[in-house]
Amino acid sequence: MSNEDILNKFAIEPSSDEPEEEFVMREYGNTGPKGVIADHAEYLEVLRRERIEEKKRQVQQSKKMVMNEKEVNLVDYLLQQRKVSINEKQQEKKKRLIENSDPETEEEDEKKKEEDSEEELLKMLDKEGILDEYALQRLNQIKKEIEPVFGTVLTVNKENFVSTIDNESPKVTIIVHMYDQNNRACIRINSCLSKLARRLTKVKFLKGLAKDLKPGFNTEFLPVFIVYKAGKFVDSILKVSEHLPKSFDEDDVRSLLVESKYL
Amino acid sequence: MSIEDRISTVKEEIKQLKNEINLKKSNLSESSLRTLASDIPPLETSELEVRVHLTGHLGKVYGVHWAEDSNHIVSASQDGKVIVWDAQAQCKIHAIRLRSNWVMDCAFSPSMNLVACGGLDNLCTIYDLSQEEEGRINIYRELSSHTGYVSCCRFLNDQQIVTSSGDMSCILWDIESGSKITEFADHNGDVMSLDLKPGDTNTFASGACDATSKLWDLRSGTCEATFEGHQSDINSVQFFPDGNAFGTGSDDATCRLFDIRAGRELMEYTNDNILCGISSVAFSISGRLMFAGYDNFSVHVWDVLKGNDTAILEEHSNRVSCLGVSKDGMALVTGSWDKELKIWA
Repeated sequence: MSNEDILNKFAIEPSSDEPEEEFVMREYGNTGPKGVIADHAEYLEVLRRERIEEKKRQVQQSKKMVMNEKEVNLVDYLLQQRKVSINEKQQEKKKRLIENSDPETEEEDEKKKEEDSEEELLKMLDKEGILDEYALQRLNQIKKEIEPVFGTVLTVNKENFVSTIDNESPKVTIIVHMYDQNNRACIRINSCLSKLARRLTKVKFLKGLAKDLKPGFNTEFLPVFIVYKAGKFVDSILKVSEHLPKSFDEDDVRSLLVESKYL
Repeated sequence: MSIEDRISTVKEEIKQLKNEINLKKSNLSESSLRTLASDIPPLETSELEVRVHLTGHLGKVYGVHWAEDSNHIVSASQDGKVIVWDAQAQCKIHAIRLRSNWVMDCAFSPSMNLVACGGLDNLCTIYDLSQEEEGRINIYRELSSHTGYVSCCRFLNDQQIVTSSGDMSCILWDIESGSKITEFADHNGDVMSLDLKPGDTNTFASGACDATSKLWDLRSGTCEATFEGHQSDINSVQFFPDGNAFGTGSDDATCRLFDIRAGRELMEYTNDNILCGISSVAFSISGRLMFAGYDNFSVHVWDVLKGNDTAILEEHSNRVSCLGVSKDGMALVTGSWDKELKIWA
């Protein structure tokens, strides 16, 4: 390499790689101390906007978490049901093996398996238990359709959450309050809700510990109201205390729910 | 009549009265500088060119100051760094990391041992260049007493420094003890700039947002004279090389020359095309030229005697935010929005 080549190699090129910074000239206060003050103000404005964006994102995420909870629980419930049916299948197999003490060939075993699956389906449908269960459910539903009357705030936990919501007639509004024992606003809301429940007997009020219903939920956003109708998620209000005046009573809670058109 | 109407009529009256006063004043004077200077041959347009580019800052340059040897320059920028350059060798000597990014001005002490800078943190921080510890220069003194931003600072000598601040006062400090000696509080607006009188260590001039510039006596701490004439905030003050006059640049788009002995404004430097304020002024060593840095990042060169524009410093993507003329008058340094320092000669 000649000397020129070496020099060229190390020559500093004008910064063509870096993108040109936007040159924005303000109307007033570009240079001097006033320029520094204006730059500082711009910088603070940018920081403030970023903080607001961050907060918005957090609220969105928390809302999503609340919404998906029921769906997740439903999946768990169905899985449980399936487990129950698998267990029963295994039990029946055991019974048969005990009855037929003679060892059977594998082929026959397989055939039996196929038959078994068909039989199993039929059995599932014929099963007294299931039909009975269904009949009971249906009865309850009809009962509730005629006279859905409540009067208290029911406590729910992870297990009965889905069933309590599903087994309701489609006309009934269900309001779930997710709370934390140490949150003052939550405690206050719970007492307001019990008073409201006595007044508004047509609405089903539920309350559940946030730790139980949705572990890992950001406690910053409690108390939370989740509204269901006809077994479907309608909406959630995060940080209910922010929407209410400082010392609120059940009338304030009622007006909030009326405003949001849930009652 | 409604209050607004009354206010507007009174404003009109004030305007008229002001005009009458100015007319009377000018009638009293024998002649104006402009007419007296009219028979002086006009200046040949100076061919100022960029001789040196100093790159290294990572943010806009907010302030520059020459050292007494006319070779070293100190500059402060938005990236929170104060860099000491050697102009002839075109290299950096020191780079000092500041605690606060928002620095407004920097200064060199006459002995070149100390560098000061002040900004939005309300402090004037002094660094000792001769004490370098493991390649880092630590804070020598932190002068805190101002309740507003420090807009300008100038060293008297290695023991004393004067600062001007947004809390409407100027303070003379004793560096060794870090305490203030005198406070000069007479302005009615943020003091934006100050300059020490050349050849006289007892006087300095300051310009403030109340449209007045004041001359102060350092020993007694009192205001010797107040100069009015500007219509808006004064952003920069610089003494004429002989010390008997000073130039000011203001937000009203004019620069004015005030004479101390005459006690009044001598000349106004403006033209109709200029709409933005001036943020820095500097005189050439002869005093014939005045460099004014404008808010739209341009620099105009004014003929001080005749009052007209002789040149506008042009350079591709030249966005000047601050400027300074060296002690020997050989060069002008401009600090720019695009992070470069340019030396013109």
